[in-house]
Amino acid sequence: MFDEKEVVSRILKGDFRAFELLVKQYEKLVFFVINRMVQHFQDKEDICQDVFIKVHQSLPKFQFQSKLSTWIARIAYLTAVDHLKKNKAERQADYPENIDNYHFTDDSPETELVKKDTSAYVNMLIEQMPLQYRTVLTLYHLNEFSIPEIEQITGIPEGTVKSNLFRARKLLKEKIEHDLKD
Amino acid sequence: MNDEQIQAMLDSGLNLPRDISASGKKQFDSYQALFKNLKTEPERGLPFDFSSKVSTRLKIKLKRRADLMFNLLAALGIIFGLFAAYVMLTLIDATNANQLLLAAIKFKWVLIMASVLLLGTLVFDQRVAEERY
Repeated sequence: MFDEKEVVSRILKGDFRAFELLVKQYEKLVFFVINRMVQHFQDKEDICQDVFIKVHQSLPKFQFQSKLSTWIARIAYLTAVDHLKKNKAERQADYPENIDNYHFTDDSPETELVKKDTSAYVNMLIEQMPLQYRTVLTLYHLNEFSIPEIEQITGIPEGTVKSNLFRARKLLKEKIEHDLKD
Repeated sequence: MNDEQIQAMLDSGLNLPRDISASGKKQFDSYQALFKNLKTEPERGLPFDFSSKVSTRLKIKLKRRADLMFNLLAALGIIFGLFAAYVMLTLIDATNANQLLLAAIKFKWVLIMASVLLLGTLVFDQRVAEERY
């Protein structure tokens, strides 16, 4: 059983094994967030490492006002956002316009191959979506955070989170239905 | 049933009502399949030794910070030591102290280079130790 308070207390006393335990406990959570927000695979592991270094740095300030997982997810989210701001190539790949007008474009020949594997195809479609849609889909479905927690993590108001989630899922469902019909 | 209602039902984990229409069931099944796919973890993840890599990187970072503090203290120690020696000499013999000060100013670059060499050796030693670590 992972005792947050005990592990944090040991880390603050300089226990590196406790820190490794914390990393093992939350590496999946951090990876899920970074994986969807950052496109280039080479950067993902580096950014995940940066997140945990920042977690260690900021741990003295953590007062258990939220769950440790929510706090770490917020650091991961902000680190990814910083990376996207600095990295022009990634920023250009993101959909900058009003996301309510977003729609999927026509398929390329490569997507025909991917369609045979539905999970891979869904992941491919998600990667094409605006950042806010990718973020809420990941935090809600993969990381299993609640809507209020997603608001704490991203700073996006609850109402906007709900509408982004609804719209993203509707777009995906319609696109998949359309493609299966073909 | 509209999309919003179906999504809300799946979010709440509620069962499909029995009197739902065929098209409603089809919509529900599509969303249910999508929700299942949304929970699928990525194929490629972090390496198995990720936690030890992070821990090593953190140890190196903390060691560098400690080394930097040590080097700053060493530099301050040298400056303070020279100043303390000058003050003590002034108390014992002011004339010789002033002569020493003039000599130090005359050979200031030798003193500065010696200090830089000492600190440089410290930094080099720390980097070598880091690489071995």
